Amino acid sequence: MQPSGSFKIRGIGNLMKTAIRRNKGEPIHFYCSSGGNAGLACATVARMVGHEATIVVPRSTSQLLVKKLKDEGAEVQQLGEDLAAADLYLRKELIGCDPNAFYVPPFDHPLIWAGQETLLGEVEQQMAERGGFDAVVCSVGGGSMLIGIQQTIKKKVASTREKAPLVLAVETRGAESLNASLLAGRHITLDKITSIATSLGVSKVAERAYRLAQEPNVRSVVLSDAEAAMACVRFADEERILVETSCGVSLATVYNGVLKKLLGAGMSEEDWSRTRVVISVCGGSDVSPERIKEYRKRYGEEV
Amino acid sequence: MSLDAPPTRTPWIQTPCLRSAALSLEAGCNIYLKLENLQPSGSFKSRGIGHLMSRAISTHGPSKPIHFYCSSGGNAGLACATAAISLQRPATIVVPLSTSPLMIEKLKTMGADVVQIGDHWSEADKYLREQLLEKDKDGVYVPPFDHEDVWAGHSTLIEELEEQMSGSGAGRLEDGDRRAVKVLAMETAGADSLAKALEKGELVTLPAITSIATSLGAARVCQKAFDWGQRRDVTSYVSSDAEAAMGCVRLADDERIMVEAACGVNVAPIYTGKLPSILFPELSKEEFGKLNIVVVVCGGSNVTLAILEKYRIGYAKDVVMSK
Repeated sequence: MQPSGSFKIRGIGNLMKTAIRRNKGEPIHFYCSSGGNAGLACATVARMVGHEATIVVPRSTSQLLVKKLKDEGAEVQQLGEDLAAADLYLRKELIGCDPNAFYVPPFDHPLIWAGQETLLGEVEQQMAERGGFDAVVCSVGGGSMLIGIQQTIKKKVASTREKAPLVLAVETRGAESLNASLLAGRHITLDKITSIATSLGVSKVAERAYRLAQEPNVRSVVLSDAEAAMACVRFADEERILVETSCGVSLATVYNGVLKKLLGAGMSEEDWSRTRVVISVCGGSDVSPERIKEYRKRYGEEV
Repeated sequence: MSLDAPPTRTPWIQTPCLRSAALSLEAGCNIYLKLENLQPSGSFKSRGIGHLMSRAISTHGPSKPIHFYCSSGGNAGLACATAAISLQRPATIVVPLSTSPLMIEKLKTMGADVVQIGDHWSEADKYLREQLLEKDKDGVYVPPFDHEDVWAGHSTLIEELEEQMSGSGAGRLEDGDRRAVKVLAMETAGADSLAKALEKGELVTLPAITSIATSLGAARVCQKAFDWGQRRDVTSYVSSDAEAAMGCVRLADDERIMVEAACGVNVAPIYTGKLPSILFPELSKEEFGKLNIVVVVCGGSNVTLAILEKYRIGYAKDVVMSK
């Protein structure tokens, strides 16, 4: 329940507020080429701090999201085949001509990762009265959330010498840029994105995420679109919150037993029942009751 | 030497209060949503019921055994069951046979001890008091709304709001004096016990609850609510079931959260465009535009995707709402 509907405001908010501070309050015009939640985060922060924002989105971006961007008061330009094309236009045609321009990347920046660290910082406080936690589950698109989580864990382990909680880094098949890189043994780019979880559709995950995912407490998991979609359906009925498939895929690890298989291997039922797992419900705005209905119709038989 | 008291956690959470872009555009002013749907039990009732139960433990003696009893098959029952888990004490929820399977399932999923008995609430409550509470010296009755400890718990919501909204410049006149905050008290037709009481000038008991918003279905509001409802800064308003249902549908579409009709009624005046004329008829459009209005998204568990779909199909044509 973040302003802008997803966790992205943590990282992007941190980057934008730092930019404003460094610019000593002079007007800034923020530019972002994400057609998704990063763009919404940028637009929301810009409105909150009273600066202009222009979001350039590819033609494939849904009207639902375009409307939400405009509702936040951002200028929206919709052009280009894909994200790369939209980003190229933004950099060449818009930023060059604007002396007050500031480019907001969707995930690949240390200030964004530093902002994402606030997530686990809060979790630690909130779980302290429950005796801590044993594992965290998060979705991976560009990887900024994974980076934020793992960076926080490393700092804590370094200062307290406590055992690092396990981190499940979850992707959908067809957008598994992290998993593919880990399997290949090198940082690779996917040919194309074929998953419906378009918010995870980054063909090359951040290098820092690829590095951190190789640490012993991180496990990479890939699930199907069907599992992600049906997790959204079930979560809506059980928790009364609608989330995107990019978020549903993390929840799916609970519903399909993968969580128990990976984390509870060798544990007694009693020990497993006492295990505390935190799922990052990243959210996302590209969903509606209508969309959930479509998921149920399309994937209901499969899962 | 006394036993170690079992550790406890506060049974409610501090909830976010977020500006809604979509609802602000609809209303023509700044609409903030206080997200009580995020409480552990799914509704604001976690505050009041949780507070009552915490105080009961303190008064009773934290190291003495205590057993909570509640006869609500609705959100109060869920709040009791959930709070009992946080407070690590046993609770029994006694509900009539007419309670929806959805709510029974939620209570059981919560791990509550559920007894289903009687055709109506009064029969379940009678069984609870005579057969269970009477025979349990450690028993404590948990009322759903009519108790000062419940009201004190709910008031934590306003304490949070004051902090959360303090930077927004709301409620201040030019010379720094604070303008009184207005309160809009919403009900649905067929569960409008407050409105009917205010109309008559005295407490009334409705002959029946005929609204779909069953969580609002108290046939008689408590005296305290009636007293407060008569203040100048409190406005009572009654919406139709159709408007409440469509409020749920629109809130799900715009903010991706699903709430009961008892909560959907709170956003209905925004979507029907009636809010300015109800609360601030004296203000110009420009003046109204500067206001910050907080909608308490009380939540409630009696809603599913199927119920929302039924609302959309059943009520869309009965209400004039913006597209």
